[in-house]
Amino acid sequence: MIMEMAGQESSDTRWMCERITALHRNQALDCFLAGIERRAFRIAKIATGDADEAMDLVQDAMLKLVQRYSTRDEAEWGPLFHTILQHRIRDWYRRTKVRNRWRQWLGKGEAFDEQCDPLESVADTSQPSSDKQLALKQATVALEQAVRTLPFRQQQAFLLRAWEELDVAQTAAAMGCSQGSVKTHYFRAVHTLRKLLGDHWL
Amino acid sequence: MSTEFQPDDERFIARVKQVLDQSVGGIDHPTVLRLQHARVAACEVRPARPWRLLWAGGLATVSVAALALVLWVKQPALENHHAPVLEDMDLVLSTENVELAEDLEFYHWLADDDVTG
Repeated sequence: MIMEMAGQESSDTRWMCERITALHRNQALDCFLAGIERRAFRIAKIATGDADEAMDLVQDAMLKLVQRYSTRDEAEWGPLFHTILQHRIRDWYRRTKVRNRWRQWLGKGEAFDEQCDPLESVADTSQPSSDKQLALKQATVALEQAVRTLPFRQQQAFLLRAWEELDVAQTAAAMGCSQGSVKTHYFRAVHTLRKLLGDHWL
Repeated sequence: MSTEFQPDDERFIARVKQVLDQSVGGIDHPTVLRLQHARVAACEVRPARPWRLLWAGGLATVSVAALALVLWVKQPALENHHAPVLEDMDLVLSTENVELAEDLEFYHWLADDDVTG
């Protein structure tokens, strides 16, 4: 009887510990994702040029991280999340490429362009911007346009190294290539962007 | 090809990072809300169980099922095996058989008596 009670108590304690660990992990994950979600959205938006697509990619990456890697060490979450996101972006590129090829083959390229809502390209003037905000907006737009002109691999290497500050090994893992390739892509990206944006950026 | 950066490059990278960091604050409110919802939905998802746990669970289930099957198949044979034992017990415990045993002793005594007499 006493043994049974001791066993029950031990299983209750284990259950409590597991619950507390799970709660702690959930809070830590929430904090981690809250800190990374906006930058991830920006990266996905620069890559895809579409807010909805970017949102879907970020959401997928979040889900996959929680499902597969939430039990890993917290220090690994950043590189893992970016690896997942970059895989998702690469898949998106492949799908889009195939879709565009079919569209061109079927002669629907122009029809698709006409479907785009012209109102989306109208600037939002509902909130008056200060000079500083305007300058920042212009700088952001110029930078995003310049980054989007880069080849995809250079774009990835640049954003992961310069913005996310992943090291060469982590960037190589996220991009699925060698460390030498990361260095070359990053170097070329920085020099192309400097040429495109001009010296006033220094 | 050298991939070393000059001080100018480093300054450029720092400036780009600053602009990108500030641009995050300019994301519109509906998008921020959608991101928050996506995060909450992701955190509510239960982590997938590791493969070895799934294997262990599956193996335990199969073992229990196999044991139950063996016991179920063996059950009629055990009943048949026990049936004669129960019949023997009936014979041994019935009062008629005790009387018969006592009579047998009497018949033995008679037989012995006939032989000696």
